[in-house]
Amino acid sequence: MLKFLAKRLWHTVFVLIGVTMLTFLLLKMTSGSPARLLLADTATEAQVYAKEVEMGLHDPLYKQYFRYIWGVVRGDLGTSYFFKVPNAQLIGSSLPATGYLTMMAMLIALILALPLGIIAGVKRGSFVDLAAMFFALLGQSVSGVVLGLIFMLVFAVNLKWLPSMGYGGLAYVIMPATSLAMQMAALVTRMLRSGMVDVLQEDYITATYAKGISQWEIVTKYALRNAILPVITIVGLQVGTFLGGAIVTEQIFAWPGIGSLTVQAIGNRDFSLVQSILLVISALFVGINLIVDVIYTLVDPRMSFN
Amino acid sequence: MKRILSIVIVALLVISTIPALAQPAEVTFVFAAPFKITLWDPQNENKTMSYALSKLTYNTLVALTEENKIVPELATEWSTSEDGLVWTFKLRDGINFHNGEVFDADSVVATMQRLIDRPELVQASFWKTLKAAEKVSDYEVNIVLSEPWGAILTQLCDTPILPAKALTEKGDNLFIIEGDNKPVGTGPWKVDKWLTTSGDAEFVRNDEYWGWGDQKSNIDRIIYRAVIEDTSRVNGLRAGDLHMIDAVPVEEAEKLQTENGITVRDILGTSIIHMGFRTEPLDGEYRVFNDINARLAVHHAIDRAGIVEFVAGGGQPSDWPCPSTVLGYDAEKAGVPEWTEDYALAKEYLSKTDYSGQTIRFIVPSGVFARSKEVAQVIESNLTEAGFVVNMEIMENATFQSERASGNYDLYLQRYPFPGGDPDSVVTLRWLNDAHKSGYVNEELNNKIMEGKRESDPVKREQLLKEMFAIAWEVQAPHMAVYQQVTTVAYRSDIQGLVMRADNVFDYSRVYYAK
Repeated sequence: MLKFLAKRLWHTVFVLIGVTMLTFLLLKMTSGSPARLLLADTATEAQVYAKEVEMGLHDPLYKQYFRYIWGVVRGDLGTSYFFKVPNAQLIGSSLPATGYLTMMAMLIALILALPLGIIAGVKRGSFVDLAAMFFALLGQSVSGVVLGLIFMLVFAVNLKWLPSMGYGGLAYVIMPATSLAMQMAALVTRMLRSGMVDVLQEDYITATYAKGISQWEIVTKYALRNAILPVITIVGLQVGTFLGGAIVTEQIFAWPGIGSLTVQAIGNRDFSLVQSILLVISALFVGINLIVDVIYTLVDPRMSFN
Repeated sequence: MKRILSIVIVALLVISTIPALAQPAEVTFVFAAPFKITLWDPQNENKTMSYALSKLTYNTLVALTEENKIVPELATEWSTSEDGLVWTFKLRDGINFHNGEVFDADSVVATMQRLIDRPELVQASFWKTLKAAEKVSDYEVNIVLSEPWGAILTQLCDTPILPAKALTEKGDNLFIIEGDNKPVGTGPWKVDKWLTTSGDAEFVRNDEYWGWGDQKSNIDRIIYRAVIEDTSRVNGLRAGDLHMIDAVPVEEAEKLQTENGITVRDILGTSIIHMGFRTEPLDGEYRVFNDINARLAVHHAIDRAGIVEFVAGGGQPSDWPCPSTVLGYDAEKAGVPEWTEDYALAKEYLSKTDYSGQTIRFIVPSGVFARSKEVAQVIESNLTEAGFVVNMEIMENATFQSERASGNYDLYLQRYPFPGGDPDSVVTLRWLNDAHKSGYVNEELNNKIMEGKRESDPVKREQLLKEMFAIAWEVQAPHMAVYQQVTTVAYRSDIQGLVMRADNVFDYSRVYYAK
């Protein structure tokens, strides 16, 4: 397993180098100078040019890129042009909010989807199955943005049960997390249901019935273990996506996460901040995928670390 | 299993309410606008919301009222020398900064000296004629200029006074909000918290504020929330989580007006939506707007009244280069240009030019002002009807600024405010210094700008500014005003004490709840 991890981590380095190169080039291709935005309308061309030189924007591209990479290697993600504080500090202060939202969204999605998917699969054609499929259809069709606004109108404006926006305890996170969770819940419900339906038709399941094992045990011990494999992959990918910034959800609920920070950084052409955010998010994404692979291997003995 | 799950849920809910129970009930005022603050250095920020927030914490020597009148604040009286080069201010005594430091002439000197020593600061660019600040006595100070400057008092209304000792000790770190380190001013509210990534800020009442008198606010804490999404702000107000919101979307304003307990107010501000012409031939390229007749064709092609009534969601069609709330507006000469449905007048002007269907590059920033895309589309169609071939490009603001600054356009649409209701900074920067690369040169106009700038006598100055605008209105260059923008705010009806300056710098510092 250690060898497997070491190999994957080694690959990760190349992925991250690719990410830094790509984001660096993409950012360089966007028009708009951060110096001009920093100095606003008041600056003359000469002042803008001087500022750009000061910011190192007129150095050759390779020089700019290696300066950034050298900083990253030494653990320095640079300083934001606009906030004038270290990028690491900005990312560090918005990641917990995004992490919290992501975890809650995942929790809500799984709480909804796991029982629904299992029951729908086991009781195929029943009312529960139909209801679950209707939920899945609805969840996948309605965008989280619309759902968020509907939640806000119902639970904050009309019923006044929950705060309409902001960052805080459980009351604050319920609406953004639920609106974010719905699509994932719908997807997981569908996948789990079809997985269960397939697995329950396998010969080995019939054999377990013949042995007289209880339905509960068959479902949880024998069927679910196989049916849940694709779900693990999906959950891993979705968590990565959420971490990358539930940008619109964060904007609607004024949630101070990494998504809001990214939008602001791009709008300001805060190059070094955008690069650093993308680097951190990519690292997290790769890390989560690695964890998923490990879990996968642990759950399914047919897979091996070799 | 079920029991465990329900116990966990109940426990989580209880835990989440503990912080709320532990804090004593505070009276809060929460206001929201779609702007994020990135810096707390009031001399290095040039955003309307930064000005507004700085009014909570800082005082200025003089202040501006809703009626654009200049009134005393930290200065009790002032006078100017005959040549207009030395301004003497007598200062209020008995005032302390939030950190206990005494406010006196040293504070003013340190504040002004920083603008001289640090030309890279955004605010310093407004103070190019500032030569020195000299202490006359503990409570009297001279501000010395290199040439007379008629708009100095207006500029002082947005120049917060900083503590001299703290500034010397901490330098720029004075403006960092970290732990106990907070920006300090003499104002009625102390900075308490700032969440960098969300842009939210919190202020607590300064009970020792010198200016409360018998009108101390009954609010303990002011909270600013940066809420970018329009619908979220409106919902937040309806839900009671926000007490005041800025930039109310047009379609929501009417609905809010009918709701109980909410006041909606339209402020006809000092901002104008205008078009800029690129007149200078670049690399031998043809520039149609170098010809006054082409500009007049645009002037008469645009249906200003229609835009205001049906598209922009309010405002006033421009009848002068500046809005009626700005110094230099001439009510006698002002008039909305004639627009006819058959575009006859516009076509007539265009026929006098040698324009032969070259494509006009019309650039527009997205999201800078309400309904900008729709307004631009109407203008594009107006111009097409009049006979221009227009290629409209709507782009992100950063890209727009870059394109405009490099002169890569024929025509653009944008907004600017006249800060403090005085045209000085606008005409100096945008017309005289040609910040947007229009390439337009008009000696008569430039001379009038300089004359208006140097005149210290308010009456004479107003006359000069009227004459300056009259020239610009006649030639429609370098900019052409389209309409005066309206800003809509909505707030709980029991909120009092708001000062809403026409240049959209709202002063929340004296806000309170009616009993």
